Amino acid sequence: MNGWLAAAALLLIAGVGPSLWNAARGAPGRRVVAQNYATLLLCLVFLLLAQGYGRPAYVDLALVLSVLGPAGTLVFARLLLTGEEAGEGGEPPGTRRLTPVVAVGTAATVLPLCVVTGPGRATVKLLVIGALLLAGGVATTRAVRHG
Amino acid sequence: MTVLPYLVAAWIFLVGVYGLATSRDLVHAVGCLAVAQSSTYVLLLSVGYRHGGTAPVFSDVKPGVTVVDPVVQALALTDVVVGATVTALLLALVVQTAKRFGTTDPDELFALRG
Amino acid sequence: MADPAVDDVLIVASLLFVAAAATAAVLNRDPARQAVVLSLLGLGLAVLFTVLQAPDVGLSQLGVGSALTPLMILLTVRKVRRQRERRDGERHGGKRRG
Repeated sequence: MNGWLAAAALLLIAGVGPSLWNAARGAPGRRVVAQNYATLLLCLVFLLLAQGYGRPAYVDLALVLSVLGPAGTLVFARLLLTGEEAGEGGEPPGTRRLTPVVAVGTAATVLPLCVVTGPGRATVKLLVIGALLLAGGVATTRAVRHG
Repeated sequence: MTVLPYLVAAWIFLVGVYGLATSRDLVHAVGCLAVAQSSTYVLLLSVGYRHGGTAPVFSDVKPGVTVVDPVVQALALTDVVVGATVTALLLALVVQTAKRFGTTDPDELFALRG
Repeated sequence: MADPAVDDVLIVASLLFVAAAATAAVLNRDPARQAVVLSLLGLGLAVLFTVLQAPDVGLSQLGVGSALTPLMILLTVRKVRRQRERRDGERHGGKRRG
């Protein structure tokens, strides 16, 4: 029983499924936060899939998503939460929980992967992805809160 | 189980075409077209999948392992990029239409009626 | 190397996620809100491509669908809305700022 793939499946069903539910209904603030969660959780899913299938080449997907995911969320926060659609009052639900969730999830995923991979360039890549995820989470939370 | 990918591809296509037909906003219609295009990606890659196969990328495995079909992956890659280009072009047309007719409701665009 | 049962679970889960995202994208009629769901559809497709062992297609899909297509749609919505405001301002007499 491949534990990495099982963890990826669990994260997909339990994390990204509810994000889709929240992104499809409700106020724009809630949707943007849900999209943010989805990109960050999906990056972790890609890391787990890369380890589960035994193909280190799949880590590039996580690298690209760790950059483009927060960028997309910043685009949405700029164009949906300011200007014409503004007038929310208060920050969207789930904003406060985002940075802790990202920090815990990233640590729980990247650190075991670094241990399994062993020292070398691949571990540096994993650590860079983890750092980008954390930075992305902080930047998008700030953008959503001040939008 | 083996027929599920094809059912999902058919469902996505039908949902996209339904949205396209009942749309009240041209920008929403372009989004529905993107949805319908994504059904072709699903179909192509499902056709090429082999159980137990891995990606046909040989940078980190040796040649000789079972791989999934690479030809359909090339087709799907082209499909994705062309889909994005078509979406961009259609959105530019929508902007011009709105400028010319002042509306993006397809029911109110009467200049194309015979 | 990989367990076939979990493989199948991953494929079925991604397929159902993509189907649900496609349905939600069509049922959201407002284009600005539809753009958020389209971004999620792009992400779901990227996961599906990875699970079907097509990472290069997944990479392109990530680049295109997660930020580019929603950005284009939102910019179009903004431009159309500005045109309409300008036109309404002129129709209601005199120039309006903005």
